[in-house]
Amino acid sequence: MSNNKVYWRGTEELEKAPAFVKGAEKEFSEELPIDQFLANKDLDSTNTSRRDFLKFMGFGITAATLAACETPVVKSLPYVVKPDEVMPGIANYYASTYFDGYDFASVLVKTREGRPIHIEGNKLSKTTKGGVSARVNSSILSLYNKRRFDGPMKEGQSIDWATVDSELKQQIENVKSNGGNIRVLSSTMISPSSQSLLGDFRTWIESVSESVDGEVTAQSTVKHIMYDAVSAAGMLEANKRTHGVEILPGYHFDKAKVVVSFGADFMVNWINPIAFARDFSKTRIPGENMSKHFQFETVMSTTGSNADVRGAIKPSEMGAAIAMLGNAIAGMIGSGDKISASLSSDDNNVEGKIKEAAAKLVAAKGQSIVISDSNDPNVQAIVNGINQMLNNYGSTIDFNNPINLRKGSDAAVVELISEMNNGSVDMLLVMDSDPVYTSPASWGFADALSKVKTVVSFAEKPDATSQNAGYILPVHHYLESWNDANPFANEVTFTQPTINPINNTRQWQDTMMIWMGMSDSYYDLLHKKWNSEVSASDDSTVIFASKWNVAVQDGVSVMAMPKMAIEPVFNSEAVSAAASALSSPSEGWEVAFYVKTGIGIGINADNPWLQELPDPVTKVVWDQYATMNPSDMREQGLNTLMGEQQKAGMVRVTVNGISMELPVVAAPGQKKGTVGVALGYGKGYEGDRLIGENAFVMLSVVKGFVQYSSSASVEKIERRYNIASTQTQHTMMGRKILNETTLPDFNQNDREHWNPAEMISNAYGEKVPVSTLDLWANHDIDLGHRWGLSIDLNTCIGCGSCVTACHSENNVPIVGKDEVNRTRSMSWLRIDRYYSSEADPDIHGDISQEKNYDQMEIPSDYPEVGYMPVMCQHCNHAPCETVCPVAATTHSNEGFNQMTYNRCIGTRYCANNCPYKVRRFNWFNYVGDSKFTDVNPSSDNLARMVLNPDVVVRSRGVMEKCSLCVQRVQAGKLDAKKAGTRVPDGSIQTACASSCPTNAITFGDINDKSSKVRESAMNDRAYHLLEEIGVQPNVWYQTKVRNIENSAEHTA
Amino acid sequence: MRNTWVSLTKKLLTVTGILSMLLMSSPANAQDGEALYKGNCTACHKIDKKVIGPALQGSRARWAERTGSDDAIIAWIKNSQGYMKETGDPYAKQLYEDYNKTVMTPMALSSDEVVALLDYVDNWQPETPAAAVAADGGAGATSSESTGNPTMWLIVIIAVLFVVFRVLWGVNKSLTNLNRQKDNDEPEPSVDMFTEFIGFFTKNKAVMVVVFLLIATYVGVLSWDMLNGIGVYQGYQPTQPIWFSHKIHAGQNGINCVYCHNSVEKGKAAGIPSVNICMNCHMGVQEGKVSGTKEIAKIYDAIGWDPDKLQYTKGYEQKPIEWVRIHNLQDFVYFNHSQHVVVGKQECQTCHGPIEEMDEVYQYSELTMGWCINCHRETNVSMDNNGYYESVHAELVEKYKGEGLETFTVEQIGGLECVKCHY
Repeated sequence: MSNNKVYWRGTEELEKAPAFVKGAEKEFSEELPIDQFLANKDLDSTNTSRRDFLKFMGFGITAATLAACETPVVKSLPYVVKPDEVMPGIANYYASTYFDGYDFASVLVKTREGRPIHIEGNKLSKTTKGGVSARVNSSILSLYNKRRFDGPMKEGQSIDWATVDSELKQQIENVKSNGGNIRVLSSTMISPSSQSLLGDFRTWIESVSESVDGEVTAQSTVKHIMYDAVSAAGMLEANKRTHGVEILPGYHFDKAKVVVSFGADFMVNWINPIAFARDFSKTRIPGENMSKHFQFETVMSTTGSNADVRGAIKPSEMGAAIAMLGNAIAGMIGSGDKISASLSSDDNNVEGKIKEAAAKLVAAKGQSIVISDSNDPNVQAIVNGINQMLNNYGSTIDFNNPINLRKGSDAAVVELISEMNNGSVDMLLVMDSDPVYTSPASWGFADALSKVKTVVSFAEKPDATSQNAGYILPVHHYLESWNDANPFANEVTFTQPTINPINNTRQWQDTMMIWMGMSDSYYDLLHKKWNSEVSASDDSTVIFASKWNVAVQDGVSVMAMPKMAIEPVFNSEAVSAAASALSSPSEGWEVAFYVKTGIGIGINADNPWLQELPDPVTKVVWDQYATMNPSDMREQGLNTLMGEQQKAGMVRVTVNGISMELPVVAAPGQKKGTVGVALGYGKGYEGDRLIGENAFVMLSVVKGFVQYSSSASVEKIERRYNIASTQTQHTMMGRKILNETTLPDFNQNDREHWNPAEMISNAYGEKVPVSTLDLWANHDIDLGHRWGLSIDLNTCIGCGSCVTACHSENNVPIVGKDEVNRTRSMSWLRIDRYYSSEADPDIHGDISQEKNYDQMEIPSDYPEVGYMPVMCQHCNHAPCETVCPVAATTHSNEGFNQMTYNRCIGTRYCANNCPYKVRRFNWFNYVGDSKFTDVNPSSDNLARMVLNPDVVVRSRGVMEKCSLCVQRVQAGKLDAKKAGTRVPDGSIQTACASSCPTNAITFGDINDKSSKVRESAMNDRAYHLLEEIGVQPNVWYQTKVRNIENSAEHTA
Repeated sequence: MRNTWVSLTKKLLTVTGILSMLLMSSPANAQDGEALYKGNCTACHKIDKKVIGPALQGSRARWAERTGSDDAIIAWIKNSQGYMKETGDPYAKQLYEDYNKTVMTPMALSSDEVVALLDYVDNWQPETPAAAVAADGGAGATSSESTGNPTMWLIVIIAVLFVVFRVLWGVNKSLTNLNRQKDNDEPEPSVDMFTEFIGFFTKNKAVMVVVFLLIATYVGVLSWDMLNGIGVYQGYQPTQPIWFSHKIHAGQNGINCVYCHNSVEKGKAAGIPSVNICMNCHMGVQEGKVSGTKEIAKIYDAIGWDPDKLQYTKGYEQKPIEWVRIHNLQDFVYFNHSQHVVVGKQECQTCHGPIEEMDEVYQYSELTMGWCINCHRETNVSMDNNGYYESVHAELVEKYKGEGLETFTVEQIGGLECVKCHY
């Protein structure tokens, strides 16, 4: 059809208005003043023509450019007086202690030229046994946090220390003379010296008021209240009721053959997780003595995802489930009373699993542990009753060697709040805690705070409490502080400064000593105390060093064990009382609040390493979200798949009248009818974006104890939210990627059955192992060293400690949520998480058929989980090497797949040809680009200090990947050459291997006949990832062995 | 005949022996006094100035005045503590107290040597500053100027030749024209040299091609060299904030390199010495032979040493010395001094050149990757008596059995692999 439309520019053209017709002929509607310009007489007097102008400009630009081509003069400034211990280019290690009120670790701090740059575990410690967690090794970056306070503040204004001291001293004098009350609020305090200092403070205040005129007109009081954000008060209360002692016992997971945990995330979060994970991993060696782990929980936790048998229960069912376990055990050993208990809904055979757990526990009497994370003393009392029935006290659970890491009392805080509300608190000193942020809204802590006359916050960086405090007296980072700690039994550990204070800060202990008019510093106090009290090191060669020096050098020592006031004696009546007071399961939606492996309780939520550490289970970064079972999500019409183009649906979760709108992430394994919400958000930032909201406010309080779950209403809202995840594909597509088997299979059959070698047809059509066929000439790998890794999938718990350690060691950039969403995460080491379940022919069809791969993406409601750390596999026949046009990636005879950054031109051919997808491309100059200033620590001038000077900071357009910490290998070899010895096995560790709390990663020389890594790589469980492609990696994996009869046992 | 020879030889030998013994045992003279002074005293004393110990000139007279002979001062110099203990001389005690109870090291010198030393000290005359500068600086200055610039000479020669050529060409033209005039021929049309030149080339194309190729090759080689030189600072010799001479310290005074660069055997950096190391000697040595007190004053200024009061100034704000870095490797390459010095047993001079002859240090080597690699290709690894290399050596001998090698270069043990330096 022909086009007979009319187009016009306006009604004027359509109507052919005369003015328009006249104007339309000209290019410019108005007359241009060219003639006037040319008529200007001044024009003739100028000598500069247009051509001249261009010449001058051209010359000017060229000259300026050439003048800029000058070799920069580099200055070198040596010390004027060099400290003896600092040697440029040589790292010093200092033993120290990390404790933030939640996580504890005895650590070694690596410093270079006076800058702390890396944190590793201290193997001398009995408490953490050389392990670290992601949160602990990332704390190094928090030292260089530019959000930290620089100097004291009063009412938001900067003030100097002398003024603030004299003002507060005056106020304290007033309180003293008026008989006022001072309260000190902190998280659990495990420092003996700090506690005795607070005792001195109290005596000082309370005694002086008596001596006024010789009569007591008004008595001042000082009280120290300890309060934990995630409370174990219920457990302490239960121990008091059942054993008469208000302490947490020591747990010996290394002696346990059966562990049953009700919700306790003991591998990454519960009380002393680093040691628990390390101890427990020792029992996970496949064989006759392998331990069995049952987990009953709501949200799929890191610990739960590693359990042999996992049962999903609602939070309100926990008491009932524990009671059922107790009943079953009582029935088997013929003692104890039955407690009436039943589950409200059982869609994954929890009852059967509890019965099985009971049978295993009874069979391993005295060698088992039953734990729960409940903060309900009644529930904990029943757990104690079960452990008592199983004779676990004295063997695996030890009251004589208590853990001191949780001492907070919920009741004490409630009392404090009522004191504050009735105006009887004159001064509140808050340290090591952020109660406004971490307390439930129903307590009204912020309101109560406004009724206190003087609030002094000893915060390190702005938090909710310091915002409401009149005075902020900022404290040092722990790497700038002196302190001691008594975390466990009779072990005392020391914190020593590794750098001069970066900001104008002061330890609260020193501040308090100045107020009291003491001339000593806190260091003097520690020195005096421990120089006489610690027992000297066993090393008798240390003759000249003082005990104190030895203790500080080791970071740990032994102190006289404080005598226990009461011997713990079991009281069975407390258990029966608890059984009758047990609350019954409720109906309807429930929300479970949990602590994430990376963010924790939010103390270091502004640490980009932790924000970009993928959650072990969901693999989501940089965001808070609600977790739901995919079946529930489908019912609600929520999107279960995530991706750059697939935004997540959102729900509104309402608890106790407080609502939060959260994107929903599918979490197979989560109990149906529940929502999981992480605590610790609403505190960290990505640029200006506040990440998430504070969920602590939603916590409810039952009988004085804070509960980490409650009934909730959940409704879908019509908004969508983009979530960034590092893994959006969850299946292995039927290939042998994460190889796993069951313990009976492993024990009874030989390797061909559960770890068969990959076969391939040779030229004659015979099936031969892949490793025997080769297209390439071999590298000379048998000469000298051949470095390799062996990763035990059985002990890997997916915690991510290796990921952050790698970031720290190798200057790996942080890219931010947006870039992760574009699959441009720079992490050299990723931990793949796979869900698995018995294939259901009804749902999945025949999995050997390629057309059914889509169906394989449909997850089971309650699947098994496996973790697989994947880094560059350092293939001897690396596909990446053959495609590089400039030979920037080549092979070393020591087994490295070498990446030479200065040679790389960024074609990215190598990344395309890598079967493991472990190569990372620098799409941006992450150091200089303003887009990354807020998320990438190495881009701001202060945080650049955290960079490892032995590793190049890669530039834009360059490919990078895991180097097997070649800088450490080279340094270790050099040490051996200088000493004239062979490289001792284990003396060189990659960052990932040394940071692994469970020792799942072994590094060493495959050519060293006696090395651990060789033994591990040659054993029956070892296999290569994607062995069938024949690239001959130098990284081996150890088959995962689940302690179950068959996989139906787990999932059914 | 033979006997005569033998006896003569014997006699000669005896005479020579006696003579030499006489010579050796003869009292030390003033020449020796200077050597003795420089070898033993200069760390703590000056002749005309109080340093750690008193000024030496005049001391002999003071002691002689008191005791009547040189014996006391000789005993005092040989072993001051012993002298004090033996005699209880109050003057000696006072001296000891006055100089911060600094014990003078006992001197293993004979009495004659002490006398020679004192003779030298007594007869010593201060040099006039001008004479000193002339003596020390003069030779250096002339020798450096005499070398001249070869390129400049080349240009001068070319210019002279060109002028000669032009003149000869003009003469030739004039003569030809004269000749023609004589023959009554028409004079040749007047063409300038340039046009004729062009004309010659248009007629002889082959010559033109050759000349063009020569020029192109020359320009090509020149630019290739120039481009290769980008980022290569061989010969870089910046002016340092302190005129510090390695020639004096390492060359003339023979101070071991490691004394100052003390992390060279321990870590990747050789280490620029901190000022407190300088002060180990310069607390006493306050004046240099070449630059007097001017340069040494700079280190006092940095650390806060008062050369008059001979003590550090309390509360002094110390200033680091801003040396200009000469050997500056790129960030993407890892180099470790201890690897090369301790394990590789390389001398400092291998890379840094005749450092002990440099007044001001310059970059001796290219410090390019090619330079590194060449050395790694040629240098044998010192594997003897190093337990690390034991098994490697056996494996390498096996591998190179065909070639019968016993020693191996850095290349053969993988020293050319990228990650040995780049990570």
